[in-house]
Amino acid sequence: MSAELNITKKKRERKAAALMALAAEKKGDVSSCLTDEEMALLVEGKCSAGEKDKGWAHLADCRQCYEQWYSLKTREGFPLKKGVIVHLMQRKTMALVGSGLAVAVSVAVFLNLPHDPLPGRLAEEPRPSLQIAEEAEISPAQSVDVEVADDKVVSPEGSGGAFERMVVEQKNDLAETTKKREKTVITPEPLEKRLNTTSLSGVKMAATPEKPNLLGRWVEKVREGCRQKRTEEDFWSEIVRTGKQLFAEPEVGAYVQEKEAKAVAILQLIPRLYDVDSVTKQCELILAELAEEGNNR
Amino acid sequence: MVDWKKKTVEQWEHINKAAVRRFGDGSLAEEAALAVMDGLEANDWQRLRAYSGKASLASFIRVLTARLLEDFARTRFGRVRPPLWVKTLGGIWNKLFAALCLERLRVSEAVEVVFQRQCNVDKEEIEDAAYSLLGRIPDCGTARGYEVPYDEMYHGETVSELSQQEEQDEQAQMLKYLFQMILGKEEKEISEDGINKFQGLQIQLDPRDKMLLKLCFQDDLGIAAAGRLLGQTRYQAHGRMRRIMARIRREFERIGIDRELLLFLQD
Repeated sequence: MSAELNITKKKRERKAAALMALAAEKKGDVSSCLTDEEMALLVEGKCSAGEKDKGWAHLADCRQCYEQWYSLKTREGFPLKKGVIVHLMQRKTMALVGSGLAVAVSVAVFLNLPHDPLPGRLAEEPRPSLQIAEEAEISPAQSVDVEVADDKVVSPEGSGGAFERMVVEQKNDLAETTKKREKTVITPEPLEKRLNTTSLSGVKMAATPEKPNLLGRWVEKVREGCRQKRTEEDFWSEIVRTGKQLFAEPEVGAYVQEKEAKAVAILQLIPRLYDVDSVTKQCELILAELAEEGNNR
Repeated sequence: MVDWKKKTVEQWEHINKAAVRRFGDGSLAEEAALAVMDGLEANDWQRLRAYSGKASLASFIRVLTARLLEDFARTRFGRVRPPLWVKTLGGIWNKLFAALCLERLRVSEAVEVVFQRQCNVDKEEIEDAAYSLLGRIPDCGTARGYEVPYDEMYHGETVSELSQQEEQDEQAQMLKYLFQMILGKEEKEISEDGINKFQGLQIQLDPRDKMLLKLCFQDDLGIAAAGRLLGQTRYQAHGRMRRIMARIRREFERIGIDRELLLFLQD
């Protein structure tokens, strides 16, 4: 302990003596400051012995050049230290903070948007009624000519009616949304099936407005679920949910109403318990209902 | 035809870093970096055109940057001659004096700026020094009207001469603070006799010796590190240091100031 104190004492004494010597040193005439290149050479250590002596002689007496030399010489080996002051009220910082807040608000708004596009869009978008179809004097045969290319429905050339455009747009949307949902829930249907929608009885309802189309799809899903005896709660909940949404829509026509009545009956039969027995039992009833409907046809 | 603009822009990152080191991470640093660019471009890149190719261009631009940053500081803040005791202590004391009394930074900012510039000193030590300096220079940072523009400077010092009495007063103050701060004896005062003896001290140091003392005792580098900066091996540096200290001790003994030192060191 006392040895340590002695060393510290000695160091301090040496420092005091050295600084006093530096202060007492009589300055001669200070030579003119080094040129930029001389200083660069001294920093790099590439100059000759004579140039070095000249450089040291100047640096020893010129505080300003000494400080520059020292900072250039020592700075290179040391990266910027951490703990730099951040001025929060600077314009640059404020802009950054503002941008950050804007991004945060955008994300929050996006997260709060409803992510199931089908029901919302169906409710919002105007659907072509049969009356409009009559006014436009477009036969179902013309509508059948609608082509599907690359999962998008494209209208045939030369048939640029308003109704057709709407149908094409809605079909495009439907094709996309159905595709998305089917990717996550069930195996995708063949393209042909998506184009030519099937009624409860299996009769094709080509290009009729979207409700029967969706209804047929929904029934088809139920049928598939029953055949595969699916027991996932998610699957059946989704069936019940989409079924209820479909029946909440206003009726489109008498034909559809009739189909809906059947579908409502099926909806009642959809299993609420998801064990194998319950699903099998309820599915038998559903398939019987569907078979009966087919026989009637 | 050398494309100086392109070559300067290539060094932009370094210029920016140097400005941040010198003035802290703020708008002043940005302004200073732009001033450096303007200074380099002035008179159709006159300062760059003086480059003859002996040193590397990067080093050359670094030297120019350091000098232009100091020019910027001087044109912005003028200059105050630091007291003799601050100059004698050197190192962080000089930088703190400039940051606090000339550039009028707050203590925390000044500490950060000096911490960036002096790579081998703790922040706590710098902070203690800052408060110590403020305690000893009460009017630090107040505009005293004798800041002088750059043109009136000569080798970083003001041209104005001090009278003999002022010089003696400054030396007495320097000795007092030196003993108090380095030897940690705040309550003790150096005697009149000691001051008179010190004024009779005459030491002529070789430039390399002086540089070694400055590096070791003002900038607080180790002897080996200081020797490396001067192009010497650690053995050469230690040998040189031993010789210098022996010479200083002899000189102190000759004028009798060693006893003053011993008295100060006694508990």
